Amino acid sequence: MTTDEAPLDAYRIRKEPFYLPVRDEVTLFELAARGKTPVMLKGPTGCGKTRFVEHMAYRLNRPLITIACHEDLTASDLVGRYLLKGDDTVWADGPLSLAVRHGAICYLDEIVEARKDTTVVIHPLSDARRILPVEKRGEVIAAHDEFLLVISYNPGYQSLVKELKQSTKQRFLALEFDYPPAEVESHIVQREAGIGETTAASLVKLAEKVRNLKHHGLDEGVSTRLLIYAGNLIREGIAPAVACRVAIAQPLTDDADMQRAIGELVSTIF
Amino acid sequence: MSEPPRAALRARIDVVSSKAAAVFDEVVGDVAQWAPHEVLAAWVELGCVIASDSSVAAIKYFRETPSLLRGVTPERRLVALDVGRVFGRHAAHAALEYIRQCPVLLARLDDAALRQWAEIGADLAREDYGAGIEYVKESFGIAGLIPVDRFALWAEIGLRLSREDAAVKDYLALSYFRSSADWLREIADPGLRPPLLALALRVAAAEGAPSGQRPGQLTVDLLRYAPVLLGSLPTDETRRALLALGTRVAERAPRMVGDFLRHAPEVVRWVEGSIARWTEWVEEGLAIADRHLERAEAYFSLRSKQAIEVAQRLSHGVFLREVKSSLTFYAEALCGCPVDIQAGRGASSARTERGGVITLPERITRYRTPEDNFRFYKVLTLHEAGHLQYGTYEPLSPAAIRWFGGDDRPGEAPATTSLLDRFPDARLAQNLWTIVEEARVDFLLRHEYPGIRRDMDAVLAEQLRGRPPLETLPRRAAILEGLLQLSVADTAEIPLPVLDVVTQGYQLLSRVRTPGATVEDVLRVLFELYPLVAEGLSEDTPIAPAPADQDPQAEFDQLAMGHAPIDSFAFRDTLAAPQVHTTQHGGEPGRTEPAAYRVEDPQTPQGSPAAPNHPGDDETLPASGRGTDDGFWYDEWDAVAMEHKPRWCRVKERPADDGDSDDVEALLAETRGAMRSLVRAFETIRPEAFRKRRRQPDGDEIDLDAALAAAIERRAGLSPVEHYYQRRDKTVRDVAAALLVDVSGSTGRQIHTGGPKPRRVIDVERESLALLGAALHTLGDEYAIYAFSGQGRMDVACRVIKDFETPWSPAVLRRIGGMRPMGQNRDGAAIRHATARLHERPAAIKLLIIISDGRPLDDDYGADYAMDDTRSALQDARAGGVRPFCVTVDERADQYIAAMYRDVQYAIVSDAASLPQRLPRLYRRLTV
Repeated sequence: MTTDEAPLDAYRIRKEPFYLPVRDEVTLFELAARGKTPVMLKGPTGCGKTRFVEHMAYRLNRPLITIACHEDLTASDLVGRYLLKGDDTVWADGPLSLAVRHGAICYLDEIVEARKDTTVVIHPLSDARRILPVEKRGEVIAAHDEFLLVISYNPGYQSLVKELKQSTKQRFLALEFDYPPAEVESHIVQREAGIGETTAASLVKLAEKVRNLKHHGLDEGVSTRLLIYAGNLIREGIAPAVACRVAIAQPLTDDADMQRAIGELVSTIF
Repeated sequence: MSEPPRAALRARIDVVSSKAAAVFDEVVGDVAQWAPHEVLAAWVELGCVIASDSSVAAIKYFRETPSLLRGVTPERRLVALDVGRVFGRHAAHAALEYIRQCPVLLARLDDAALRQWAEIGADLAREDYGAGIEYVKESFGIAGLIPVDRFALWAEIGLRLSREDAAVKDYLALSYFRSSADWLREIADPGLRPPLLALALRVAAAEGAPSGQRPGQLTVDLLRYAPVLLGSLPTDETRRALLALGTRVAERAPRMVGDFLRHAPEVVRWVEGSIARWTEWVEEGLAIADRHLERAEAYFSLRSKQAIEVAQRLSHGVFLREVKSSLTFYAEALCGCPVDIQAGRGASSARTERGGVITLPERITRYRTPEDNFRFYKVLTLHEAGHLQYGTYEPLSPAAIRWFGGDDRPGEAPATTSLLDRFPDARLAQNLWTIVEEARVDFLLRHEYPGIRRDMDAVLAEQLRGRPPLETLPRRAAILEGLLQLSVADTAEIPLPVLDVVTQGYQLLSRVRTPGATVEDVLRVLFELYPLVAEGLSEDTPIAPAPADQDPQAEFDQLAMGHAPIDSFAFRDTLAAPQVHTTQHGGEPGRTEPAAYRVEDPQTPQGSPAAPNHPGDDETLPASGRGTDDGFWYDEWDAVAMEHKPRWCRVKERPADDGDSDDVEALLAETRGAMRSLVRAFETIRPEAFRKRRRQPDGDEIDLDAALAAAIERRAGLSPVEHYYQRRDKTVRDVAAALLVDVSGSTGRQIHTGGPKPRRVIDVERESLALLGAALHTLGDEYAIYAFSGQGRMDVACRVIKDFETPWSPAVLRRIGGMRPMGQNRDGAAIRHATARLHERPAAIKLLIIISDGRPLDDDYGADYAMDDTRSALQDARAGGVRPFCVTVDERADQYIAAMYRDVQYAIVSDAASLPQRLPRLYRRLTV
C-alpha cells in the first residue's frame, strides 16, 4: 500500500530536523514502526522528545500529525465531526482519523493532560486490531500500514496529580528519554544555538548542577531547550549572567532564594 | 461559741490606749449593729495592734473604720482585718493606711494576692517605715497595672531609693512611690511593665554612672522617660529588646546603662531595627568594657568612632540565616547530594549518611558591603562543597591502603587518619596533608568553575595580607608558612635558609594541581614531602631565634591553627586531616539514645495537684464536656468497671506560649523549601470556586459547541446525545480538622535522623505542624491546632496554638515554635475535648488528627486502662460523626497500637524524621 499523498502533504517534513541519538532509540523506533507497535516517549520536559519524533518522521518518510493534548480535548476533536456547509452537513475527519486513514505518525503530546474518556479512543488503535471506530458515521477505519501511534508523557511533575491508566500504558513500547550526556548535550546546544564550544560546555555544566536540585527545591531540572534559549541570547551578545537569568533561573522557579542560588552558580561557572 | 462581751473588748483596748477605748465607746454601738461578733473581735484586735504602736493611729482607726468596713462586702471583712494584722506592731501607720485603702485593694486583689501584697509591704515597712507607708498608699494605683507577684519588684526599687535618700538626703523614694503608677500607666503594652521594673531595679542597684549621676536619679529618670523612650522605638520587638539588652548592660557594665538607654533609638536606626545586629553591637561594646572602661563609655555614648563603625559594619554584614536557603541550594547543586548548612565556628565540612554537612560562620561582617560579605560566604561554601565533591572524605580504596602499607582487612576503618598517625611526627604530617589537600581542591575548583577564580583570588589575597612575614618565624613555622603561602599564591618572600626545602616542597605540591587529582595522589605527595620537610627542620640554620620562653610545640600549634583562627585564614585551618570520617559517620556518637525523658518546663507541677474535692460528688458541677471558668469536664472509660466515670477529667484550655524568635527562625528555615513545594501540591487539589462543566444533560446555559454539534448531527440523520448544556458547579471543601498533638515530656526524646543535628520528637512535630498548617491554609480548610499534655486527671492541659477562627499567621508559627515537652499525656480526655470542639463546627466533614509519640500515660492512667479509655474516646468521636485519624511516631508502636486504634484509621511513621513530609500526604488521602 502506498501512502495517500495529497491530504497529508502539509504534514510532511521537508528538511531533516537535527537530532543527535543518545542511545539506540533510533533503531528501536524504526523497529517499532516496522512492527506497527505504538510507542510511548517518557521523559522530562524539553529533553528532545518532540524533536525525536520529527526526526523519525523524516527518516521514515512519513507525515507527522502532532496533537497537543489538553483538558477540554474531546473524542470528536480527535476523530472528527459533521460540519455545516450551506444547507448540507459534511463530515470532516479529525487529525487522528486523518493519520489512521492515510498513514501518518500521530503524535499525542502530553497525553495525560487529556480527559480519561478521550484517551480511551486510542485503545482499539493501539492493539492488534488497529482500527478506529467512528461512531457518528457508523464507520470503522482500519489503520493504514504506515500509521503509527506515538504518545509522550512526563512522569515527573504530573505524577502528583495525574497518572496514565495502566490499561493505556500497557499498550505501548516505552522509550525513556532523559537529558543527554554532557558531551552530547553540549554538541546539541552548540549546534542549535550557534555558539562556541566553551560556552556550550559551560551551559551544560550549569545544567548539570541545576539538575542536582531536582526534588531538592525544583520540580524539574533545566531542559536542553532552555539551554538553547540561553545560548541564543549569548550568541546575540547578551551577558551570560543575564541570559541565564531570563532563560534558566526565572522560567524554572519563582523562589527568590533558588533564583539567587542559580545566579551564583552562573557566576561560579562563567 | 459564746459572744465576748463588749466590755471585755473595751478592756483590751483600754490596756493599750484609754483614748482609743473612748473612741471605741462612741462607735461600737453602730458597728455592732452590722458586724457579727467575730468581725467585731477582729476589728478590735487590729485596733489594739495599732494602738500598741501609736495611740493617735488607733484613735483614727476606730473613728474611720466603721464606715470603711461597711464598704467592704460582708464575707471579706474578716480577711480584710486579718491582713491588716500582717503589718503588725511595727508599722501601725501602715496598717492604718492599709485599712483606708482596703476597699479599693479588695476590689482588685483576691484573698491570696492580698496576703502576698501585705507581706511585701510589712517587710518593706520593717526596713523603712516611710517607704512602707508609701507602699500601702500607692498600691491601689499600681494594683491594676502590674501583676501582684511583681509588687515585690516594685517595692524593692522603692527600698533601694529610700536607702540612697537616707545617705544623700533626697526624696527620690517618695517621688517614685507617688508617681510610678502614672509612669507605668503611660506604657501601653502591659507586658513591658514588669521587664521595665526589672531593668529599673538593676539600674538602682548599679554603681554610679560616669557623669556622677546617682543610680537612684537614673532609675527615676528611666521610669519617668520610659514611655517616651519606648515610644521612640519602631517595633514591639525592639522595645522588648531594649529592656532585655538594658538589663544585660546593667549586669555586665552598670556604668554604661544610662548612655546605652539614652542613645538606644539612634543605634536602632543604625542597625535598621535588626535585633540581631543591635545585640551584636551591644556585645561588642560590652567586650570593650571588659578591657577598657573609658573606651566603652565613649562607645555607648556614641562618642567613639568605633561605635559607628561597628554599627555600619553590622548593617552591611550578612547573617547566615538570611542566606542559608540560597547557600544550601548552591551547595546541593554543586555536590549533587543533600547538604545541611549549619552555623558554627569557622568553615568546615563533613560527610554524613544523608549527604554532607557544611559549617559556616554565623555571620560575616568583615567587608564593607553586603555583596562582599556574601561573596565570602559563597567562596567558603564552594570550597567546602569542593571537599565533598572531590572526595576528601571518601574512604580510600583497599588497593590504595595496601599501597600505603595499611591494613585493608574488612572492618578496618579505611580512613587516612590512621595512615597519618603512622608518621613519626603525626602533627607535621597532618599539617602537610592539609596544605596539599587544600591546594588540590583549590586547583580543581578553579579548573571546573572558571567564573569563581576572580572571587577566590580576591578572598585569598585578602587572607594572605594577614599572614606573618616568614623571616619573623622560627624555622619550622617558616617552612610550613612558606609552603602554605606558595600553595595559595604561588609567590612568597622565602628567606634563604629555608629556600631550598620550601622550593622543593612546592614542586612536589604542584603535582596535585592537575585535573583528576585524587586524595590518593595527595597522600603520594605527602610520602615524599614529609621526609623532605622533616629533614629540613633538623638543619640548624636559624632564621629568627625562637623566644626562649616559647614552647616550640605551642608555636607550631599556632601555625597549625592559622595564627588566629578562621578570621585570618578562611580555609587552611579547620581541615584537621580526614578524621571527619570517623567522627561524623552515622551521626554524633553518644547522642542517639536518650538517658531519660527531659521535662523542660520547670513550672510543671511534679505531683498531681491536689483535687479540691471529688468532682463526681459535687452535683453543682456542669455536665461532662461543658466548659466552666475552671476548665472542661469529661467522662473517662473504666474498662474494668465497664462504665464511664462521670466528669472524671478536667481539661484546661489555655493559649499556647510564644516561642523565642530563634526557634521560629530555625523552624522557618527548616521548613522553607518543603513548605513551598507542599503549598504548590495543595494548590492543585484546591477546588476552584466555580467550575464550568460542559456537555451536561441540564444546566443554566446552552453549551454552544455541543448544541451546534448536536444540531448538525441531527441534520446529518444521526440521533445525537442530548447533552448540550453547561453548568457552573460550586465545589466547596467543607472540612473542619482538629490537629491534636501530644507534647508530653516523652516528646523530648531524641530520634535517629541520620543527620548531624540531634533532633527530638517535638522538633519533628513542630516542623510537621508548620508545614501542614501552611498546606491547610492554602487549601482553605478550617482547622485548629491543640497541643496537649498535663499532670493528673484534674489538670489535662490543652494549649491552643490555633483555634478554628484564628487565621494562619506568623503568630501561629510563633506558638508552634513555642511548643515544649512537658508533663504526661492523658489521650482520652484530650480526644474528648478536641471532639467537643469539632462538634461546634458546622462542616460536613470533621476530621480529628491525633499525633502522638507513644502510649498514653498519666497519673493512674497507664497500660490497659489508658488504652481502653483512648479507644473508647475514639469510638465516641466516630459515633458522633467525627473521623479520627491517629498518627504515631513510636517505633515500637506495633505492639499496642493495633489494639488501641482498632476502630479507627491510623498510621505508624516509624521514621519520625519523615513525619513532616508524610503528614500532609496522609491528610490529602483523608480528604480528597
